[in-house]
Amino acid sequence: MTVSANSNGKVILCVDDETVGLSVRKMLLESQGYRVLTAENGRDALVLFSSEDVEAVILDYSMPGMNGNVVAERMKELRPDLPIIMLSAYVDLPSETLALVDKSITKGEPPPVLLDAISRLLNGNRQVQPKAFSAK
Amino acid sequence: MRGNMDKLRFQKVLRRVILIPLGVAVILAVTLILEVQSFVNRAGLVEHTDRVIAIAQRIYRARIDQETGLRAYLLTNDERFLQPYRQGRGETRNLEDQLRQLISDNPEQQARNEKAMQAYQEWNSYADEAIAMAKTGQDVTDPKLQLRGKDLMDRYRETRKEFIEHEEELRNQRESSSRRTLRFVNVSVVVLCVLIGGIFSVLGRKQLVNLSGAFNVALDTAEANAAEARAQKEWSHTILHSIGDAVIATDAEGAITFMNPVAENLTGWNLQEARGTALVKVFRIVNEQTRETVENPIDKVRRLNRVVGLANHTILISKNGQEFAIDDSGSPIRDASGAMAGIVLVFRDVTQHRSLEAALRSNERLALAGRLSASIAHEIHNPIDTASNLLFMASEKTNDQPEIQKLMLDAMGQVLRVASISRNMLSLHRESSTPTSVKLPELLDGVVALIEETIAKGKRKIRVEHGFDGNIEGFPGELRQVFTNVVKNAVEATSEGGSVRIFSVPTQEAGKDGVLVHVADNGVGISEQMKSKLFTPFATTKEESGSGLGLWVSRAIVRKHEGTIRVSSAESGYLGTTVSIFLPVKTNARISADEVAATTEGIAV
Repeated sequence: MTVSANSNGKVILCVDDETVGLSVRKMLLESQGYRVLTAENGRDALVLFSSEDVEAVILDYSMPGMNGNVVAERMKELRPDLPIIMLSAYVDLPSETLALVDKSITKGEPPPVLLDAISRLLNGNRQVQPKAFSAK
Repeated sequence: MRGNMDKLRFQKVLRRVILIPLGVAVILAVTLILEVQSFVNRAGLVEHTDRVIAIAQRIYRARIDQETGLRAYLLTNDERFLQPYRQGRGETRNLEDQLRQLISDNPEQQARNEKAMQAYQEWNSYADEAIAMAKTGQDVTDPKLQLRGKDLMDRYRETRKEFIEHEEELRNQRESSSRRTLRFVNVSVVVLCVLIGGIFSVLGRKQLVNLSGAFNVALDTAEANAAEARAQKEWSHTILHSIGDAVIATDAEGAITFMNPVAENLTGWNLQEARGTALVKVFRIVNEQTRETVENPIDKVRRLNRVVGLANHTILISKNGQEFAIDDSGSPIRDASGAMAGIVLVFRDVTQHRSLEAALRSNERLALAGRLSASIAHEIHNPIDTASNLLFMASEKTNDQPEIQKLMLDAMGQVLRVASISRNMLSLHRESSTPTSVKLPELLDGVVALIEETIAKGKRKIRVEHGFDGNIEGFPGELRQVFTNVVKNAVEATSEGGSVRIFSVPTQEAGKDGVLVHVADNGVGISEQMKSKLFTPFATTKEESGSGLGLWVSRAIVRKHEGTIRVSSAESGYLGTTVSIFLPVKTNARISADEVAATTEGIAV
């Protein structure tokens, strides 16, 4: 396990109503050297977002109470430059959402896809070298 | 009601026309008979008078002869001269009786006759006296005696002449009366004739006017009725010709009596050739699925004796073999007594309707499948994401154990394959923009190039012939997906050294211009059992490698483009499989409201 120097302990807010998925994602990101904050719904996410110095957000789209689009909207209102990745189980998100966020990834893509996207958004040059695997 | 009244009036008029002249003729005949009778009577009276005169004159002449005889006897004293005298006495006795009888109805003449007879009696007494004197030899030449005889005879002559003159006068009267009667008869016949003629002409004219009035009314009514019937017939004719449904009517034996143009089109028979032909010959219907002949509607209507809807899924086979899905009903035609006089069949071409229904069902299935797959995908993507993250992290920790790391990465790959299938299913419902112009040859070449590189790898031959070298409207990505899928299937169906032939031809289907793309392989073919399942989700022959969604998705896309996809295969395996895809040049393809709804619903989960 190599923690990239580029991750530099940057703070990422992960929002997802899937508890297990959320904690595993936290582990994955932490393994890459990030500091990870988690919220299981939009409201908690917005509370954390206002109190903590968040540098990037990974948002689930479909959540009870408030969907990812609304959360992203509020966040972009406060910090238009904040990188947001929409990570959804759906392949067909509304175009307004796609226009709102910096990147959209479908759950079930190989993990390096997410890591690579975060890295690029945070500093523009880090690349996760994917190991050889076969996804036939 | 009105017709009946006219009939009564007509009969009345006819009665009058016949009865009135008959009555008048009878009156005329009676009148004539009476007049003739009267004339005959008068003529009889004249005749009677004539007889009276004749007898009176014979008596008179006999008396003159008697006197002449007596005078000669008295002069000559010769008995022979007494002969006429005596004869006259005997002869006149009879005549006088006759005369007395004949004039018994006329007292005046009786009186005169009596007077004449009196005068004769007096002369007769004188004559007897003179004869007696002569016989006794007395002188009878005494002028005094002679004179006395002459006086007496003169007196007789006078009275008898008076009688005869009266009788003649009577005769004249009667004759002129008879003549007057005759004239009256003549005149009255003429007058009556003229009168009757006049009455006839006046009455006749009146009756004729009446009659012709009644006749005209009847004629008008008949004409109006005929016109109405004609209009009714024309109206029915127009209705039957304008109606959108096909109509066939038959007689009770099932021979065709009428067909409208729609029926002519669908059956392929025209009315002229079909008239009198048995319905079963013209209206050939079979069951859509079993191809078995459907019960003849004539028999069915007769059996049930009511309006019947015919069997579902009925196919009408036209004269030239064309087939139409029809929806039909048969009804009995009843005559006035309620007996079945024939049947009328009404049916319509529901081929398009049926295919729309089928399409709708298919779309519904698709929408349902879409909703299901969307929610399943959601449930799958989350755990897969987690699992692949875990496996990735684990593999990161085994950099020093490459063998274990490889196993873990392989495991991650298999897990991600599930996600890939799931994404495939979900992508079916991706919202699309409007169709654009697609260069079909380029698209096909691109697909073939990709497949040759990846799957065929030079071991299978793929040949492309562009019989259609133009653009069609559609979604290039989706069409590429379709052809990739189909060509990939074809290549995978062949063994090494096999070949796939792709050729396009411009064509028309369901009235739309378009292109038919055939993808033919010489591979193993498809079993009959598999054929029926080709287009259902998760049907696969490729065991591990395929998702079984390829043709299902392909068909959905082709249908969205308003096209069709068909698969034909020879089971023997020698001729392989041919997939034929028709795509119209112009399409209204767009994501349907249903699909959008299904997608949005999926997202909201």
